[in-house]
Amino acid sequence: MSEEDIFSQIDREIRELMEDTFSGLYSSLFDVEQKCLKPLYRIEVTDDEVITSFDLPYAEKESIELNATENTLEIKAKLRKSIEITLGGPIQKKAQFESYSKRINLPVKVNPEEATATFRNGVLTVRFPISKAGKKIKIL
Amino acid sequence: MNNLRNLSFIRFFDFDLKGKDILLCLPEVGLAGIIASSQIIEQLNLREAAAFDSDLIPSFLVVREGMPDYPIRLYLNQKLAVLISEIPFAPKFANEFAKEFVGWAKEEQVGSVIGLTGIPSRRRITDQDEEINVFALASQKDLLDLILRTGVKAFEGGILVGSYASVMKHAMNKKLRAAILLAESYLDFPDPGAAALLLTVVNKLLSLDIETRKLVEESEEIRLRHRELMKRTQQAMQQTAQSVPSVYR
Repeated sequence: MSEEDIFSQIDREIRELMEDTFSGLYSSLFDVEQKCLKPLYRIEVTDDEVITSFDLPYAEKESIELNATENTLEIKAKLRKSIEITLGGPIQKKAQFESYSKRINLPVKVNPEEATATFRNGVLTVRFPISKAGKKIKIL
Repeated sequence: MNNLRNLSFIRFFDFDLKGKDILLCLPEVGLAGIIASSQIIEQLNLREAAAFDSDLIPSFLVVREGMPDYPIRLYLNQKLAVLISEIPFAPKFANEFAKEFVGWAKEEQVGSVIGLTGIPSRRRITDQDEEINVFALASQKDLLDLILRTGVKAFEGGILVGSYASVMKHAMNKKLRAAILLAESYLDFPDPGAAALLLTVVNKLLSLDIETRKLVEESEEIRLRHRELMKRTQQAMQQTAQSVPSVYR
């Protein structure tokens, strides 16, 4: 088995760096084929709650759809107007986007039936009470 | 070209920073400083005057229409200068940058360095209709008093970590006049509202007239345009948080 020569190694490292720079970040923010943006989001866990927030500039409040299970949350929303974004790279290409879509895994089990959601100033916040299932332990 | 140890300073033309204030705007909480800086640079028509480069950051060029540019750049006019970075600093580089930048600022005999940034506030999410505050800290009491006269509150107590904390630490070491203004903001969503508040304080402090209307009217557009930088900054801030041992938090 021949070892990778130094030029192939440099070539591969440059390619990986380019991919990380141009597609790793992009694939976490854009889905060009589906014309949808993946929003910036944040997950916080407190003692009793999981608080998720999503930055949704231009989203139409009435179109927001939320779907949750014990450990996932999916959000979808339409943009008020179709948006054209120029995606960077050696050749810049313009892409149209019409909606937001994101599915996240929640770090702990929650009660989706008791979730509450607010949408203010373009930020969607969904709060879940943490599932308190468990067995009582008796002290002998 | 001044050659500092890990940082090189590339001057595009001759200029004198003696006695001038430098506004330091790095990508951090809410990108508040970065968003504010673009308004200052645009509205005052500041000229791109210099850049910082270092072997400690990956070779990262910003390219626009075939022309490359450095990610860390200095803009100025006769009255003031603005230093911005288009790349967030990982903890190790932040400290090196701070050390060399402060040393350079001392040599250039700048008037003061004023950092513009955000401070994460839960209220930004839960109480969005409440007025947000700007807090200040400074390396020298008279500078702090000057800033407090604009109506901001003193950063009363707590811990500061990250790029600005590094700059303040080295400013204290080298006795450079430095201050940090922190507007309550979203932690990891671009926050034009926080940037607007920083600008109203800068206006009072430096007798400027920067308009904040655009930040309000084009808030959604600004948030959309800054997503990628915010994502990169999120990653850098997580590294910073992880680098602080939990006993210090």
